[in-house]
Amino acid sequence: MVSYVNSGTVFGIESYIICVETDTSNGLPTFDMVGMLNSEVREAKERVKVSLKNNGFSIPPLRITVNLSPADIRKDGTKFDLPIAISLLISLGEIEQKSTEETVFLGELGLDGELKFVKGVLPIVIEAKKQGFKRIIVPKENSFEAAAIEGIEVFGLSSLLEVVRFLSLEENERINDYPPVKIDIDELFKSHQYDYDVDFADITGQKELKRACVIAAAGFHHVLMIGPPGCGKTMAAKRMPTILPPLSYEESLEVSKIYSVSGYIKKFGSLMVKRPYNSPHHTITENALSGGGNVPKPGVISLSHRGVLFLDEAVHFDKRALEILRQPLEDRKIVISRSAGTFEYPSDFMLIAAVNPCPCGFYPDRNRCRCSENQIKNYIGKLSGPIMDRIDICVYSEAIEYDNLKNAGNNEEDSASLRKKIIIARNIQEERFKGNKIRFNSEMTIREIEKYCKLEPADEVFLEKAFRNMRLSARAYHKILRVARTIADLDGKERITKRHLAEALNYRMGNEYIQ
Amino acid sequence: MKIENDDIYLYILKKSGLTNRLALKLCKLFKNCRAIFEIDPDQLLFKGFGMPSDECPENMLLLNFNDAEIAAVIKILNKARDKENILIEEAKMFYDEIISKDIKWTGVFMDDYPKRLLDIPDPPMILYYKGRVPKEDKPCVSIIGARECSPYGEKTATMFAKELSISGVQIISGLARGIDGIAQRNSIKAGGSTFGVLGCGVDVIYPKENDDIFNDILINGGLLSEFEPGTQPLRQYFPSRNRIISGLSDIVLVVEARKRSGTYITVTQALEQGREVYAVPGRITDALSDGCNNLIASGAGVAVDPNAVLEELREIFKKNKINNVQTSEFKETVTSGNADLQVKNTDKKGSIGKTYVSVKESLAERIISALSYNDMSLDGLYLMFNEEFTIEDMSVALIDLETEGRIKKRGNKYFAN
Repeated sequence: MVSYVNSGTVFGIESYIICVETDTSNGLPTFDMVGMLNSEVREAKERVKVSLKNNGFSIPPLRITVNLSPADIRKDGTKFDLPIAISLLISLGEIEQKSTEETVFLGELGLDGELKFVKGVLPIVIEAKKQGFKRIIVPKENSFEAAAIEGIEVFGLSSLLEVVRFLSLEENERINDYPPVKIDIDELFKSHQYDYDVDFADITGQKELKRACVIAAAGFHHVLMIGPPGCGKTMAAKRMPTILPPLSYEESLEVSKIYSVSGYIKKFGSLMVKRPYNSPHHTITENALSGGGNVPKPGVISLSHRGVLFLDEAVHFDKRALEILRQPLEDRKIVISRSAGTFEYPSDFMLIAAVNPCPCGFYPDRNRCRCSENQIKNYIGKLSGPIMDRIDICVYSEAIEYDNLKNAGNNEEDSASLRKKIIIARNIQEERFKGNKIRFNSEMTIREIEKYCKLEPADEVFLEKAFRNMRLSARAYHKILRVARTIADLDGKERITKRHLAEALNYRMGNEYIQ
Repeated sequence: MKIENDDIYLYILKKSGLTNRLALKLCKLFKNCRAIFEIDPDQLLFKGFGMPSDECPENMLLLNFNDAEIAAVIKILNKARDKENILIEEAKMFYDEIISKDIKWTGVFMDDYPKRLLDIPDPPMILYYKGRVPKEDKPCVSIIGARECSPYGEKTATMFAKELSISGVQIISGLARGIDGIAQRNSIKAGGSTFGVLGCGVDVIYPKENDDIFNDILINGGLLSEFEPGTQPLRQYFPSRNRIISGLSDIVLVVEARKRSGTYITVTQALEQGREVYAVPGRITDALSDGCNNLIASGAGVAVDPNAVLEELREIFKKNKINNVQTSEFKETVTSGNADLQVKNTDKKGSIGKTYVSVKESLAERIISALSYNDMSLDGLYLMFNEEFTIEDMSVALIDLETEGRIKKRGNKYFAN
């Protein structure tokens, strides 16, 4: 008799519903599994056999064939243990086929029948809901992750026996013993979104750096921080997520999917409600950055989707790894082609690059720095043109002196109050770009800049004069308008005025760094 | 330029393999290259065979060669004589080529060879140049300093170069990055004549940051080098280039130098050549002024303003009893420059007084007066004004000042212009 049980798998970041079919027939006793399985799935056979035996089910000497269909999708992971076991039990007549209808099963089995945590649950739940399944059975540890999706009943169970019992009950009887798992999404967002143990108030002084961070956060601009070692660049970057506008539910789903596939959602964890923050070490390989493997896993840039990618000591990164950033900075996604297929991962992140001002780190303090002008140029020049082109804000910071550190009052503005201003600016942008593809000022193309960054003639003259005097390039022009737009939004002004332009000019890239 | 017989023998002498020191001695004695090749070897041998000095021809004694040197000279001269015809052809080709590149030359015994170089212990045998060489009757000052200079150095180099050029002083320097280039560029701007001494061939543009100067300098000055045209700049050439810079000038003015630096080496050479050294003082806490302050401490002249240098030049020229007409002309320019300066000084005083008097100053004025004491960053200024203004206001004010050209930004620091 053939039995059918539904499960799911993830390929890249796409998810598919998989049907586990089991047939038992007379013949030489074997246990065969087919359906383009990779080794974790093939090993399921042993786990299923032993856990069934240990839970009091005996497997008669029959010819057992398990097929995971559609058979042309690669399947990996340990989530098929449970559906294979259930399918076999149906085939052996222990469970009724009818009880598994409209249900998706996911879970790894221990030898004692315990249900264990698996990766990639969230995308499968989303797919199951889309295909009209009524319920999904997952290990208890995955239940909050699955419950983030509304419109499908989620049951978090802890052992094989529990699943068997659950299936043996009628629908109305189950409710008492096994209520569907529910989480309060709003509450989750409210309580955890900004639950950080760092705050902008921790940074003493560094007003310029902080202001630049606020502007960057409001317009989602990429930032280049230039400053000597120990001046607080890392500290500021780390606190950037605390002032970024909140993740929306949709954004959170995008991020959580990536984290779920990569196995970074913790046991009993649910949606990612905070903006991601990643700070890879400069020895990172290009594959780790972009996503690597035969079936590539999302790389650090995709794990930074909708969040912050901080490259500390950016010039020390491998040149080829840095070049990987080109496509994501342009298209906000990365496309990786491997023998198994072409994979597309979202990667819309805010890039924060921190560098020393010169090889020794002390320029422009000529008492300590003896680097030549060429050395200085070449040092930052390691960040290639296409990457520099995308960076709108360049901010310098200097080491803070002891006296200022000591005398600092407690009146530093904290992340919560900075965030308030940023959210206002964010809302203005949302209104402005309604119906457009873009969401932030930093995404404006030349056409949009012309449309939304109109200047009064007098301000136009001022900008022109500044350009001539500071010997700025045409490239800098659009950057300055984009940043000025954000500054005006923070100011609550419809028009960009001279004031906004002047402040934006302050965050331009110094000429000594332009090749 | 016509190729004279002397030029050809100068080339042969240079190519013969004789050391610069020996060749110079011979040149100085004979004042003519051709003559060197006509020396009778026996004459040179007089001393070699232990002849008593009174029997030796007088001029040979002046050479004061030892036996080994005499042997070397005879061997090399003989060898050159053997290949004389080939070498003559070679020399003609060489000169033709450099003439086609508009390059001129002068030899150590020739009329147009800068006389100042003859005082130094090891003048170059041959000097290639474009444009012209410095005039003998006009004072020469070399302005040298650090490649990686501060805005202060930039400011003072500009001031000295302009004032000195206006007063008719010829500015000598090395066309390097930093102080050298700044001084020469501003000398050209002021309409003065300036001369670049290179550590490479005169047709090689190095450093390329200064390529604008390489053309402009020829209008009223020149490019000089002891290296054959086409020679690429190498590290080891620069010290010998530096001896020509100091050798060509009456006064060496050091604008900004670290304690251990190439500039410091040049100064040591200048002192050996008996040149006056002046240094622009700086703050004792600035590493870039360390060299200058130390020079002053060990007796160098203090270049508090261009006048001090001009005064010293007048002294030197008086001592040298130079042609009366020119001195007076020179004096005139010096005094007129002087008057100019005084006017400026009072101007400055006036404005400083004003800043003290005014009670309520604009943010911009306060920034300017803060920056005139010290270079500062935006954060530094913010703290200095006790957080009286917001960061936004301050950055607007700074950009305004920068746009007006009153301040300058380097890295995170602002400097008053």
